[in-house]
Order: sequence, then structure tokens, then C-alpha cells
Amino acid sequence: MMEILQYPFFQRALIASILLGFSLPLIGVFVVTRRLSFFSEAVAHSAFTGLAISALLMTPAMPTVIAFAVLVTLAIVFTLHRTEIPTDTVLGVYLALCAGSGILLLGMLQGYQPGLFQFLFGDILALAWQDVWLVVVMCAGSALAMLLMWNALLRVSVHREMALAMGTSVARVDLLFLLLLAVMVTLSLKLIGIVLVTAMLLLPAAAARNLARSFRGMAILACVIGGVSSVLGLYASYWFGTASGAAIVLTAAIVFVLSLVLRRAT
Amino acid sequence: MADIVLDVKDVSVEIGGARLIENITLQVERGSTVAIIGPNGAGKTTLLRAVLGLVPLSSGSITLFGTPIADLGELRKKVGYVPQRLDYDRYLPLTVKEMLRAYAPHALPSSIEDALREVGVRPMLHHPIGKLSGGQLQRVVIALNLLRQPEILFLDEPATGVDIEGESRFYDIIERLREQHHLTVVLVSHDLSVVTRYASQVLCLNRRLLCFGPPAEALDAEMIRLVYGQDTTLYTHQEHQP
Repeated sequence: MMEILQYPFFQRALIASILLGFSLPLIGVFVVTRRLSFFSEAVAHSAFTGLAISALLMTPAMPTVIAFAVLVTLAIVFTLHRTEIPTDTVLGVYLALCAGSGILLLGMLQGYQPGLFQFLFGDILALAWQDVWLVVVMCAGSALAMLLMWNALLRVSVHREMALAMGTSVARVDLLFLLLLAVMVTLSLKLIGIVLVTAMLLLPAAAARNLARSFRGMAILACVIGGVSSVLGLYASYWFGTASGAAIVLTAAIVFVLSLVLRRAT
Repeated sequence: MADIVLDVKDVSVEIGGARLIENITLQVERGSTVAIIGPNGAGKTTLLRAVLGLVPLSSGSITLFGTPIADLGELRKKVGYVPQRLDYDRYLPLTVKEMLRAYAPHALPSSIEDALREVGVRPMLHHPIGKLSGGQLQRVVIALNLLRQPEILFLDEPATGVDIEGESRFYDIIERLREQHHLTVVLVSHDLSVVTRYASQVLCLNRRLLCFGPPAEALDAEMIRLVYGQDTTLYTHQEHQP
């Protein structure tokens, strides 16, 4: 079990997965509470287009994908505020638009696109040290932002209009949270992929919701479940020779099922 | 000269082409209790939401504490609001204490307990809000407002879904708090007994302003029929005279 730790690729994977395992569920707590899972799906799928643009313009993949995700987030927020179209319809339209235009542009590119498969399914074992440093900075920034926004996010989650009437800048809180969510989702794509990122965002928070007796407890438990699932999943992928992202998400899914059983038992 | 806290001038609200309220004008004095009554669809909640700056005005103006509603800024701290119901996830493990702390982050633990004690729900401090009854939750929301020490409190049919005895207790608490904390209260209600018992002014609404004044003067039999229809009559119980 310990010998694998001597390999730098595994050290990098372990550090990044633990950090994202803690950070994503902290945001996920509010994604679950505010029913925003569809938003993270839409943003994750924007990576197709971001990736295609990066290949066409020959710009670095990750910054281009993040910039495009931010652009899509701003467009979604603008559409939600300026129209009376239901939220899930707006998100569905953007999801289709992002996935469709991404696939179209990727189809125009010549030859094999290795980056595409890394973003689709994730490859945490392929991270470079500069990727790990990016993860460290983003996770620290995200944790700080969440702490600063915590009370405002809670107020908006309980009752938007009551929060607004009492002076909370609901539009600003929404925008900042969605931008943070977009950046963190995009950042995680390289690790666990488009297909699984929403699962990692939701599963630890949903499991914690089943077990916790306070909101603070739910947040702490979600981070612990996310961190532990990441480590166990990474080791499981090493033992069984499977894809690491899938192993991490399946471990979190097992914890979620256990939480349901425990909730029924108590 | 009367101390006017809320000044509504010729306000109309139109949403999606439908005119919800038309040319409403009223003034609310500090320390008074104003009840807004009217049938379903009369625009009661729309008027309250307009006053709180939650819906755009088609015409007219609203000032609160002498400031246009759009420019309230820090003055919003003086505004309290009790919505008809909270739209949160019932299974969320958010405790009463956590909810109060989110709205009043700088409140001392003793202040939180005092506010809950004042509305009679101190034992609920560590309970998840999803496990509270409708009446208990509304009292927690009142406590949340008290912690912020508002000068004016808006309530939108706050006793909806609460039994008759609970409703009466709820309004008794509001009246006591109004006196103790020198609050101005503006409430939406469909219950005429609440209006005659607690309100110093009543505003009858059916998209347009039908009456505004002390209940004894404004609410005559003709007005009640105009607001609620031909078959409505007001009976005054001798033990519950205003």
C-alpha cells in the first residue's frame, strides 16, 4: 500500500484528489440545498467548446476552458435575470448549445485529440506539478470565498425574497457563487472528467445531508466524505487497475448508499 | 405633524401585461399597525412586494424612512419581513440557531436565546427548522427579525396554515412586540377579525384602493360587501371588540 507513495505521479494525484475531495463538497452543500446540479452539468459540458476553441486558437487548454466556462456562466445568469424562462429550461438550452457547438468544432479538428479524452473521463494520474499547484491555489481560494459568502448563501437558500428585503445583494451572491462553481467544476474536469464531476460535487453533500444534525455538521461531514472517498477511490483504482475518477466517484456513491441505510436505521 | 415612515404615491404595478395594482396612495405613521385586506387576486401581496422593492413599479413612487425604496441601502437593516412561507428544503439539517445566526451574524448567543424566548420558542434553539410546525417556524422568523432590531415589520399573511388558536396567539405576540419595540407593522391578512382587533388602520384593496382609515370608520357593511362580495356580513363578538 505504501510503496505506491514513492512514485511522484501518485503523490501528485493523491494531493490533488484530497484537496478537490474536500473543496468540491463544500460547494456541493449549497448545490444540493439550492438544487443547482443541472448548472454544474451545463458548465461541465461547456468544456467541449472551450477545448475545441483552445485547439483551434492553439491556446493553453485549461485557461481557455475556464475562461469559456466563466463566459457561459455569465450568459446563463444574464438570461435568467432578463427573461422569465424557467431555470431548468435555460440550463438545458445552454447545455445543449455548449455540447452541440463543442462537438461540431471538435469534429472540424484534424487528427487524434488526446486532451478531449482527458477532459471526458479525467486522468488524475497524468497531472503535472504545475497542475497540482493550480489545484492548491484554487482550492484555497474557493474555501476562503465559501467562508466569506457562507451566511449570505444561507440567507438566499432559506428565502430569496426575505434575504433581498433585508438587504442581502442576492444577484451578487448568485453571480459570485455560480462563477466559483463554474471555475471549480472546470478545474476538476482534468481529474475526474465531464461525466463524473457533478457526481463528486453532489454525492458527498447528499450523503452528509442524510446523516448530519446541523448545517455546519453537514458541511464538515461532506468534506470528510469527499476527502476519504478520494483517497480510498484512488487506492482502489491502483489495486484493481481501474480508472481513478470512476473509482473515486463510485466510492462516494457507496458512502451515499450507506448514509441512506443509516438514516433509515436512526 | 405626523411622523410618516412609509409614503406610497400613486403606485401601479404591471407584470406580463397584467395590471396587478392601480394608483395606490397611502401613508403609514410610525408606531401604527396597518392591515391590507382584500379578496384573492386583489393585489395585496403585490403591494407588499412593491413596498419592499421586490417588484418594479410601472408608475408612482415609494419612500421608506424618507428615502426612495430603490436607494435604501443600509436603511434596509431597519426593515423586517415575514413571508407567507419559507421555500427551503424540509430535509435540510439547518437548525434554528444556524438560521438566526445567518441573518444576524454578530448577535450574541444570549441575544439569540432572548429573541426566541420573547416569541415563546426558546426550546427550539437546536431543532432543525424542517421539524417545526408552521406556527413555530413563523415565530422563529419573528425572532430572526427582532434580532435585527427593525423599525418597520412587513408580514404577508403570516398565519396561513396555523390553527385559529395559534393564529390568535401569533397576533398577540406581534401586538406585544409592536408596543415593546416601538415597531410599525404592515400586514396582509384575509381575516377581518384580525383587522378589527389589531389594526389601527385598514387598507381595502381590489386592485384599486377602496378604503383607507381606522377599521371602525373604513369598514362599514357597504365596504365589506364591495371588497368580499354581496353575501358577506361582519359580526362583532362581544368578547373580541376592537
